[in-house]
Amino acid sequence: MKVVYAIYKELLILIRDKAGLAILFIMPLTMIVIMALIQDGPFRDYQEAEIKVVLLDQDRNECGQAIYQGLSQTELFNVTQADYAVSDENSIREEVKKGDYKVGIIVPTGTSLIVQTLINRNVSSAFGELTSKEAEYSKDSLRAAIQILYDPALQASFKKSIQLALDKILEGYQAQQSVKAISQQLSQYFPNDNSFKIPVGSLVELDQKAAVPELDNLSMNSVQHNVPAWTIFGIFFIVLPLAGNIIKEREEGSSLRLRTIPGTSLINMIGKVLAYLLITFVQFGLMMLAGIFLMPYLGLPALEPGNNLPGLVLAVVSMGLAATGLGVLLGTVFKTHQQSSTFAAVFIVILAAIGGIWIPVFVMPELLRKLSVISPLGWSMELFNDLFLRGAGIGEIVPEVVALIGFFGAMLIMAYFYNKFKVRSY
Amino acid sequence: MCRSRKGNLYQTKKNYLIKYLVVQVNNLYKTYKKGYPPALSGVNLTVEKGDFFGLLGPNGAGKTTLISIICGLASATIGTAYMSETDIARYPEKIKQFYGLVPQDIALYPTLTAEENLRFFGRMYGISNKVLKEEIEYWLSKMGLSNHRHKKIHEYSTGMKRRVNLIAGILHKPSIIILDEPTVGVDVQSRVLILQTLKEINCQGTTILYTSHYLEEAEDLCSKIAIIDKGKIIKEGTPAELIAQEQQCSNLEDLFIKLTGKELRD
Repeated sequence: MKVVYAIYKELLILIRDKAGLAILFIMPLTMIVIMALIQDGPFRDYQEAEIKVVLLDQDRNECGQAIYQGLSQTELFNVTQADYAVSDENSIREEVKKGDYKVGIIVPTGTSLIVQTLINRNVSSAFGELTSKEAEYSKDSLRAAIQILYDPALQASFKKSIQLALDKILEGYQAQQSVKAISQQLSQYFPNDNSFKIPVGSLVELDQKAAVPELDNLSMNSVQHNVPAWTIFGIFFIVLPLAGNIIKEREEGSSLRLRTIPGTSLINMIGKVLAYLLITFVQFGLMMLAGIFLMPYLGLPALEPGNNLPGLVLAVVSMGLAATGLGVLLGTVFKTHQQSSTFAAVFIVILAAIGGIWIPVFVMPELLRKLSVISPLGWSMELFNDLFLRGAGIGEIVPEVVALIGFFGAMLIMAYFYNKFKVRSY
Repeated sequence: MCRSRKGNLYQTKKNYLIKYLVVQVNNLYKTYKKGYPPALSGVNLTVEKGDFFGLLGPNGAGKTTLISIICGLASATIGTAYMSETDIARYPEKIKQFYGLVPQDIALYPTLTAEENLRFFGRMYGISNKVLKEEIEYWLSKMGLSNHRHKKIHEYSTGMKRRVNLIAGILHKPSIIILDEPTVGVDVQSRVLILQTLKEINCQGTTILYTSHYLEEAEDLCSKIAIIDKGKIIKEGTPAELIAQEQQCSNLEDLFIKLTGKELRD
């Protein structure tokens, strides 16, 4: 029962520590809201944002239409057609430069005609109707070129997206024109059938599914990343008040009194760990509620917390233990509250950065991706991703859970030996 | 005048079984760092059951180091120390049940109330809820704190803090109470109340080991005194005996100055 009193005492002290409460609850909640809103744009850019494209179709023929239809059909681009009568290359360049559009595409006059001519010549050549001299001539003089103007601030991935989309559209268009030309040629050899046609279209479908069928409609978004990420950050930020609490207890002398009561130092430490573990559950619950109910009010998607409740409990316990272990070590090693809080704040931020809290690990440079494996916040992030996005069962989260609990054990062992060999008098 | 509290006393069976409650220190040395002078240098000391023992010395004399070793909070470099016939170095946890420490610094949680502090420390000592409630009631009333029981410690005056600090060290009815300058920085009223209480506890048979810089206070309270300086016990005996040994000294302060000198200590 002594442990219950120790927990009660810790909670009383914590409830009366307004700054500690702010660090434990308000800070992570604020971070969740702010970061989810800030990163909503970039996440949408990556996945669902429509890149604004202005198309100047001077061709006003099949090729220009194919490009317009092709780009409009994808969900990646928001295509506006510029008025060909009043716009020119300079005006399009100016609009892109100002940032009104991310990309400007200019399809010059006669593009379709050139493409058709080239294809017809190639097909005719293949059917032996043209001399090699004529074919050579056509190569030299005829060329179709579509101009693409990028906003200098556009990310490389978006440039690649537009390039791939245009390649696909133009290849399709050229294939269509080639088939048409071939059909015409073939029709000459089958005079009874003037309407000789080869069907054109994709013969291979892309069957895309999530590896976990139940999570088919779920994808990484700002909320799905930031709510668990900043919940982990908040959980690990208990290191600050916990280490401060241990140092204050030592400075104020109450730890001395506890050392004079048989067996109480250990009970007091267990009380602290359990009290702060309880706090991590309250933090987790609060952050999940914010993710599920508050985010939609801010125009963001609601959090999908998965459906593995025992897994979530195990995850929070292991994260809470890892955080309290670190807090106990820092509270033992550092002499003053100021030292511990400065070190802990910087240390947690570094661990958070390399652990993928700020931005997902997969977009980091290779060196940081390798470093992320040493961060307990990274293990925690992976644990939440397993549960939220991959629908993992208990068995699949065991490695991360073991790593976090092992970290807790290692921290306590280090704190124990530091305390044991430290020279001290009362 | 000694007083007993019938029915209110919290006594463990262990306390009845222990025949002689003494502190024995034999040839104790303590060195913190190599090359530095030792904090304790061959200290021998005996505190008998029922003594009100004063350990006096200037700053840096070795009082706190000696108390730390007696309380099992630090280990001696050389020598042995016993409490209630138990080897302190071998059984540091066991001896903790015999004593209560009232440290010089206020060893309480400042954001908890007096009652919450006493309840927590009492529970840690294993005192049952019922007995604890009675004891807290009794001591808060005796120390004039009943009306302030729900105030947080950081809202207390120094005198009030010292009184709660004392209660927290004696709540579990230890056989020996070790006090490190219990009246530093308190007003006269609080000081009188604290000393009166200590006298009463001593009259009930509890041994008291006490350090102080207030020599008049020590002369009045203590049945035995040891003067320690530079890690050595330089005089030991009853206050009257010690004063009588030095012809030019009319009180303990004269004796103290004569033995330890007028050189300032930091």
